[in-house]
Formats: sequence, C-alpha cells, structure tokens
Amino acid sequence: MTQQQVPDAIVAVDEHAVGHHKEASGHGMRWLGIATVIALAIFVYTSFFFAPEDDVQGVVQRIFYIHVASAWIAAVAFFVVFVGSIMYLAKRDMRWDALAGASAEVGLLFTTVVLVTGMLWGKAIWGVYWTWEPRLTSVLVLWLLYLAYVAIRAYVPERSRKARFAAVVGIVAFLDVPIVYLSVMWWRTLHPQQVIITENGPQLPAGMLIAMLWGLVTFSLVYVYFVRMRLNINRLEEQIKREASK
Amino acid sequence: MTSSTLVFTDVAKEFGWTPVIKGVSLTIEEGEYVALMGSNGAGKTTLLRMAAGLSAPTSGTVSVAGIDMRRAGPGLRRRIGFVSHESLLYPDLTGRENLMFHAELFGVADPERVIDVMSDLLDLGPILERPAGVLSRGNRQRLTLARALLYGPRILLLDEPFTGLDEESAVRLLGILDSLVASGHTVIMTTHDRLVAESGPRRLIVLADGRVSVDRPMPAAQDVPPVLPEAEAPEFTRPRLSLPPGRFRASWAIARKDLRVEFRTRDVLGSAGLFALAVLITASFTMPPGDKQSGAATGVLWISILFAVLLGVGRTMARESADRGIEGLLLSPVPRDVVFLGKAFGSLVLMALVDIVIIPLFLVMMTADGAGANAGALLGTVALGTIGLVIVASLFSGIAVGSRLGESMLPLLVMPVVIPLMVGSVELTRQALGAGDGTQMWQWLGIMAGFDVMVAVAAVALFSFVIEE
Repeated sequence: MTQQQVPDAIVAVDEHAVGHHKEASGHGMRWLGIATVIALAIFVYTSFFFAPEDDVQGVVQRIFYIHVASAWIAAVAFFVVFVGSIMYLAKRDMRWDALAGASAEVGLLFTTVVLVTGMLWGKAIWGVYWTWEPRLTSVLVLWLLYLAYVAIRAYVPERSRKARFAAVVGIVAFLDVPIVYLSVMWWRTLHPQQVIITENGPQLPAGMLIAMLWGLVTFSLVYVYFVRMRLNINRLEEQIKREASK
Repeated sequence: MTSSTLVFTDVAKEFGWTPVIKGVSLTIEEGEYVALMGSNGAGKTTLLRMAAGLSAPTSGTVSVAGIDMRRAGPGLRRRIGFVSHESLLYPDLTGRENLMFHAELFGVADPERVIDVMSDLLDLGPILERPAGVLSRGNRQRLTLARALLYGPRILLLDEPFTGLDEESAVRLLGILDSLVASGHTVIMTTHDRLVAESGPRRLIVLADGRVSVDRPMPAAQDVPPVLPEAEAPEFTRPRLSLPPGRFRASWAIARKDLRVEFRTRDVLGSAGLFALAVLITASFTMPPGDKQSGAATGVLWISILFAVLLGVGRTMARESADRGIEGLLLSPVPRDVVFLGKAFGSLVLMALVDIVIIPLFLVMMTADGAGANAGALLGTVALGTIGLVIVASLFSGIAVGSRLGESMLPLLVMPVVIPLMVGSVELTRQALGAGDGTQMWQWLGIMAGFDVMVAVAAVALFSFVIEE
C-alpha cells in the first residue's frame, strides 16, 4: 500500500462511516449521551450533597458511591464478556466478539476506578494505600485477568483467530473469578463486612442508599454509552482496514 | 455424488481484512486429476487447506461426499491426504518414528508392513532411520509424501509436491500419481510449473486474484510434447485400516510421542528443571533453614514449579508448531479434545519428573530435613498443584504460540488465572509441613481440586477452538 492510498482510503471511509454512524445510531447515541450527562450531574449532587455525611468516616466515605457503582459495572461488564465469548464461539458472529471486546475494555477501566478509589479510601481509613485484604486482592487479580484478555486481543492480528483466542480467555477468566474470590478470602480477611443488605433489610441510611442506587443507574448508563461508543469506533476501524486492504 | 466428490460452494476466505478467496464454486469428481495453477497469492494453498479441513471458509462451504469439512468425522478425515509446504513431521523423530506415529493415529492395521511398502514406493531407504529435521528438502518431501499416502486416502491434496525433488524422484512421483488416478483416487495438486501440470493432470484450474479464471480439460496427452521421461507406474496397494484409535490410545500415542521427543532432546527437563533448581538455590540463601512455617519458603517452591511448567509446556507446544506438526494431528481422525489430553498428559509426566527432583531438594534446603511433614498431604498438594498448572498452561500455550509474542505471552495469560491454585498450593504445603493445626487442609484441598476440575472441563471444551486453524 502506498502512502497516498492510506489517506484516500481513510477519507473515503470517513465520509461513508460518518453517514452510516449518523444513520444507524446517531440519534440513539445523542440521547443516551444527554441522559448520561444529566444522570452524572444528579449523581454528583446525590453523592456529595444529598447523602448524609458518615459519622465515623466523614467526607471520605463519599468515595463509596463511586467505588461500589464502579465495582457493580465491572462485574456486569465481565459477565457481558463471558456471554459474548460463548455466543461468539457458538454463532461465529463477529458482533458478539466486538461486544465482548468493548465490554472488557470498559470493564477494565471501571476495575481501575475500583482499585484507585479503594486505595484512596484505604489510605484514609486503614492508613495505607494497599493492604492484601481479600476484596482488594480479588479486584487486582480480576484486573490482571482482563488485562490478559485485552492483551491477547492486541497481540493477535488476524481477526477471527483473535476472536477465538479472546473468547477462550474470556470464558476461563470469568469461571475463575469465584475461585479467586474464595481463595483470597480464606487466605486473609480484614475487609469491613457487607453492610448494604442483611437479613434485616438495608442497613444504610435512606439518603446513602438512594445515592448508592442512583450511582448504579448512572454508571450503568455510562457503561452502555462507552460500550456503544467503542462499538462505533470498532466499526469505523473495520471499515478503514477493509478499504485500506482493497 | 460419490464418496469422494469435493465441492466448493461460493467459498470466500479472508485473512484479517484481506480477501484471499473471493467466491469459488467448483466440483471435483472422484478420480479426477487436477492441476491448480495461479500466481503467488492467488489463493491455491488456501483452497487446498480448506479442502483438507485445516482452514474454515469465511463464507460458503467446502464439502466432501456432501459433508461439510467443518463437521468432518474420523471416516472423512481418513479419506483425505494432504501435502503442504511444511512437512507436518516432527524434526526430532526419525522418518520411521514419524510414520509410525501417524499410522497409529490413522488406524493403519499393519504399520510396519505399510511403511516398508512406502519405502519401496518412494525409495525412502536410509531416510527412515534419520531424524526428519536433518533431511534435505527433497528427502523430507519424500517422507512427507509417505505420510500423506500412509493410510490410503482417496483424495490427495498436494501443494507443490515436486518442490525439492530431483528428476528421478519427480518422475517416480508422477508415476505414483498416475497409478493412483488409474485406481480411482482423486488428485489435486498446485504447481507453478506448466511442464509438470501437463505431465499427467487431465483438468486445469487457474486461480487469479482469489477467483477461478480458467477451468478446462488439459489437452490430450498426445498433443503435449513429452517434458519428463516416461514414468513407471508402481503398484500402489491401498493399506488396510482398522478402527481409528480410541480416546485413551490416541491421547497416549500423542503423549508418548512428546515424551520420546523430550527424552531425545531433553529440552524441557533441562531448561525447566535447571530453572526451578536455580530459583530454589538462590532463594535458599535468603531464608533461614528449618523455617517450615514460612509462607515465603513454600512460595518460592511454587514459583519455581510455576515457572518450570511455563517453560516446559510452552516449549512442548512451540515444538508442535515447528514444521506445523500440530496440523498433522488436526488432519488425523483423532478428536481435538483428545489432542489436548495427549499434550497435557505428556507435559504432566515431564513436570512430575521435575517435581521428583525439586520437592526433595526443597525439603532438604528450605526445611532442614522435612521431618514431621504430612507426606500424603504434601504429595496430594504437589499433584493437584502441578495438574492444575499443566492444564492451564497447555490450554493457553496454543494461544500464546498463535500470538505475535509467541511463548512470551504464556506467563501473562497463565499467571492471573492460576492465582487461586498458587494460593492453595502455598497454604496447603505450609500445613503439610506442620504449620497451623491442619483444620483448613480439606478446605484448601477442596479449592485446589475444584480449580483443577473447572479448568480441566473448560480446557477440554475449549481447546478445539484454540487449535482450530
């Protein structure tokens, strides 16, 4: 391929792709984006102003709303990777692979948020950024597992082989998660026990519970927006590569 | 449609984003002798690989006797012989050992006699007793032809079969192919050499830019000036086949082949064993002897075993991809999960040998004497830990070898997955050596066994996707 051909191909694809993008998902994405921004604004209000301040931990406890919502989204994202991987192997439809790949990247991003917020919270409460307690350790292992998933996608150029390899890693990684959690939990336990839902019902004050639940809604919207955006980028990349290879 | 009719229906194949085959429809009847020609990159090899079941079309179907090659069972696989650019032989095994291995996988009834027949047919002679890796290009090609003819396939797919052959061998091969076609076999061969194409084939197919550009009968033999000396027509008797080997026998054959290669080269035992030993010795300087309860000491043990497994299993799979030996396995009637079981079993035996050296050394170096150790629990831990590591590494080594990073990818894939197993192994080893009150022993054994079962089931189910193409 000459240097001249590449920009031509990209320009040609870009014009086509922009049209396609607008036609296929432009309106949906715009409304989703607006809804996500509004939800984020409300989330900032509920988590920083509406929810009452924790008596013991003070203002630092507010990190909880980002931390828990990110952890929830990471779990959903990796479940989507698992389902997408199985469906790809069963159907050999590249769209399932694209969904799994996009979800893994977004899940990895949210896992990073969980780790960073967990470390900041840990520094404030336990006095150290890192301690080898079970949940932090499990999340770190989870992060490594899906980093491997993203890495294998990056290091296999041929797309159907990449999809197969990634699907195998995606399935094994997800099946491994409960065993990782169990092993790490048995290994060492320091973390505060679950406080959200017990047999006696929710233990959080109502304001905190509302802020947390709104966090879940908001971050779910962010997840869907990011995944759809990633899929659109994938589509554009594919079109560019296809045109460039002609 | 006969039992050997090969049909391509609207076949397209893309590699990455590059279309290589762009809609080929062809029917090749039983007994046809076809020359497939075309310039470099026209798609000849890709078409043959799809016909052999080594590559799946991106769209369309390739079928033999009406059966889609993606669903080819053992019977269909034994009907196809394939000679590719690579020999699909194991360079460290002799010609005879290579042929014996393939004969066993294909269920050849009297392999010794069939190999003798092949030897006469292709003038193998001393080639049979020399490692395939040291043979010249031409001699290796003759051995490759013997591998493809060994089980009497009805369809022969030959990719540049004359490459490297001297004139005498080329004439001999032409004679064999004539004889095979005369007895109803189908032969499809790719060639760049027009003289070769006109020395036997009755039909010419030319591919250009992934499409059939010419498909016509060859001119009758008398219209073509003789380009090679008249070939003899050696007798080719179709070998007798028994049932393909069962799952256990096939996996044992694959494991035995790996062990034979290893005991000849000592690559894995040398590198993995010495590595584990070096880690133990280095770490022993940093720890007080006799500290049986130290998690660090048992941690060092399991890190050395983990890296020994990564090195060993990675090497075993890399060896399989040299000269595309793995494709020889994929062409065979052996189910693909059995290939995994065979590979994993062979690696497990090798790693058990490494354990046999490492564990006593660990007991002597790191725990002073190992006295008071619960031998049963220690043995169980080592067994469960090694099995789990070998299974995960065997599954992922196929992926690593197929990635751009090669074997270096293996640790990145394996290490996060085996963390629970490593935690369990370290804890259980500590307790087996007398740390704690032993009450958690069953808990840890359970988690290790659970991990092993989970990865074994996943690996058996998923390995076929790893080695699919």
